[in-house]
Amino acid sequence: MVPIAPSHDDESDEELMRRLAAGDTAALTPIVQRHQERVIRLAQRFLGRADLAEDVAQDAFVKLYRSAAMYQPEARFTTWLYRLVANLCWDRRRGLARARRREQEHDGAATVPDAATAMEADERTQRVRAAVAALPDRQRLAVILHRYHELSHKDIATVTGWSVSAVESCLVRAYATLRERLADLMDPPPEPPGPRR
Amino acid sequence: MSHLTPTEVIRLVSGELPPAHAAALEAHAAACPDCAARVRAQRGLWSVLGADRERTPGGDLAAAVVRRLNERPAEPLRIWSRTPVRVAAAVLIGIGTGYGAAEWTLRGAGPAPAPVGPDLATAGPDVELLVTMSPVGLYAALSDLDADGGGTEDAS
Ligand SMILES: [Zn+2]
Repeated sequence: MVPIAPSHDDESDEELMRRLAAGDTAALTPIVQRHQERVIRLAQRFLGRADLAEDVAQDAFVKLYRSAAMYQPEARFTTWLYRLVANLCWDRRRGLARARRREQEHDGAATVPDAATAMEADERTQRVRAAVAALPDRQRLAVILHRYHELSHKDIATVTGWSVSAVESCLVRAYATLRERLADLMDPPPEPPGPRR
Repeated sequence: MSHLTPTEVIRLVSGELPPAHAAALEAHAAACPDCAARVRAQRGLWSVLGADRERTPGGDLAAAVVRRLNERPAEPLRIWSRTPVRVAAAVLIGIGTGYGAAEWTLRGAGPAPAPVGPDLATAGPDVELLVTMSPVGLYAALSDLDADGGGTEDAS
């Protein structure tokens, strides 16, 4: 059995990965505990479904464990992890898209975008989630990584494999769309800090 | 100084610019109502988006991951980590179950793996993962999705 070990807060991610790569399964628990929140948050927001997010997160750590030997310490660990999770989310999204198409063909009716409905939230939050969920997949992934995971344009490019200019193009379009769709939620704009009259 | 580009507005608001660059943009916006309005609008959106902090389940994910690993013990593919994966898979098929199991036991990484044949069959996604972990692989995967309507318009 793979043991459940106590947390090892003082060990770096890279050290834990080295231990996993060497077959030391006790390193799994601390690395999961340290990163599970970011993994679940990314999957939940991208897929719009809390139930799937946890499943994706489990997949992610299983794959992390099984591909630990492929991890190169010169890559920042979180970037590597984000890339792994983004891949899984993308695959899952494709599956959902196919299922939805089959459902539509079968029922002849469109299903509701999943994000707003599946996660408990107030009306304002639902508006925000629905607007993000309605973005094309690439734009949505870029915005989630940028706004909710605080990745720079360059880091997003590393995670996704897109060029920095492609990332920027995604973000510019996505934020423009969101500004338009969520304009009524924004506070009255402050006075511009322009020249005094 | 010219007006802020859309990307500069985004990067200024997200705080990812070096201080000197940010200060130069702020100085321009302070004297340019157009740019000031664009920065203000992006700040407003940034704040609206940021107000949504989703809750994540507080369950014991580590235990669930461990359970999943124990349900399907790790495959002997790991021993070929320095070898191109597809070649490794082919070699593994060639040498059969015994060697994989012996190697696994040697590493002391847990129970002996499932028979190599079936295991290789189920190891497909992991093989794919190792290939797609390169940015090029992910890019290909993402491009694939575009065929499903995933937003080809962003590829510029
Ligand atoms: Zn200007």
